[in-house]
Amino acid sequence: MTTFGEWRRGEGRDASATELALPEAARLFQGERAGFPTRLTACMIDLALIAAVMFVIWLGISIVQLIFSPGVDVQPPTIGQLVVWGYLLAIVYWTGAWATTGRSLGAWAMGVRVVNRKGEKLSWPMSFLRAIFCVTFPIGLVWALFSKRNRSLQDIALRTIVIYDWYVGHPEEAVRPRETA
Amino acid sequence: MSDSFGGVPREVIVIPQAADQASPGLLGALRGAAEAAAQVAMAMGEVAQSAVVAIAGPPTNAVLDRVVPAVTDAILQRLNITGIVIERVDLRVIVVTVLDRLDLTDVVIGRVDLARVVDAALDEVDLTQIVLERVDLQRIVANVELDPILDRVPIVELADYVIEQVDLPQIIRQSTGGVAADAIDAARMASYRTDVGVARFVDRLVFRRRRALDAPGDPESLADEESTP
Repeated sequence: MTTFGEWRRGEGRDASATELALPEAARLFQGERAGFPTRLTACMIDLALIAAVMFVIWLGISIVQLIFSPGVDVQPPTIGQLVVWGYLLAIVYWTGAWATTGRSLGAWAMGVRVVNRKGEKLSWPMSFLRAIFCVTFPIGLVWALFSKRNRSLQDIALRTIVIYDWYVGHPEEAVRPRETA
Repeated sequence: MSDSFGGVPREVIVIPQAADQASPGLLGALRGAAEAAAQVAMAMGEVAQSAVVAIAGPPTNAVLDRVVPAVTDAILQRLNITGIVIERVDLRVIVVTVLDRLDLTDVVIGRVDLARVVDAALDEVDLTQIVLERVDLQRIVANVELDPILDRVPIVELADYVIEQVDLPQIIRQSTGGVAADAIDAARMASYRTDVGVARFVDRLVFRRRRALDAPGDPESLADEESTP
């Protein structure tokens, strides 16, 4: 066991205060670059959420239509409408999520966070750009499979990083990069 | 020998005076004879005196010089002076008198290398053992003012240390975390393991040793950022 004197000198202190708030297993990779499967899962959760929101919106619109003009024939949205609305929603959602907390619902569920190359959360313009890039070129994520640093094409272009971050407290503290030797 | 005494032998010159020249008649002659006899007597006395000084004086001193030390030595050899002093002298009185006259503290401070004496004494003595045996440490500790000591103790750091050592966050998590939190943790963990496995598989395919997954913000990783995808 580490004595207090040793601990004070930094010997045997293997976890920062932030990391202490994490489950022990997660401390090992807190702040590391997240891999492709996790990020893909996070995206899928986000897409599912967006789909659910779109469905709720469509449902709402349909109900309103039925209330105000009962005879009207409620049509499901066309593919084109879905894509356009889905794109717009995803852009808005991801821009807001990355610029505020650094993570969307999917990212939170998978314990990852988007930060810039200094480990800080993204600015609004950067978030917006990344959201557009991700929505229009989602296949860019596949590059994270092969990248030495787990970077998608979006990350390379915009110099963003997706890190493991299970921490749920203050995002400013949580994104502090892990000390590496 | 007579020179060393300073006594100069005197020459006595008797000058007989003609009686008929000085005082005519019998009376005059008798007087003259008496005077002459007195002068001779005085001269004889002086001669005797100087003879005694010249003969007896020097030999007496020389004899004393030789005899006195020898006699004294012989006496001293026959005497046990220490015994006599111990038996006959009241040593206590002497010592007390001497001590009264001396400022012993001054003498010790002036003449004794106190540092060496103390060092030697401390070398001989197990001070810790003495303190443990003789000092009432409980009483001393009971009288110690604790606040200044506690002011010096890094209590917050100490608390952090304890929290880390007992892993308090883990305990709190285990006692308060619900099923949902556990499920999320499990899902994240499984996802992380999948990441590691997939990355290892891909790395093997492309003959890469391992990935560089350093945290962002690290200067070295930033330098490499440009060169490696």
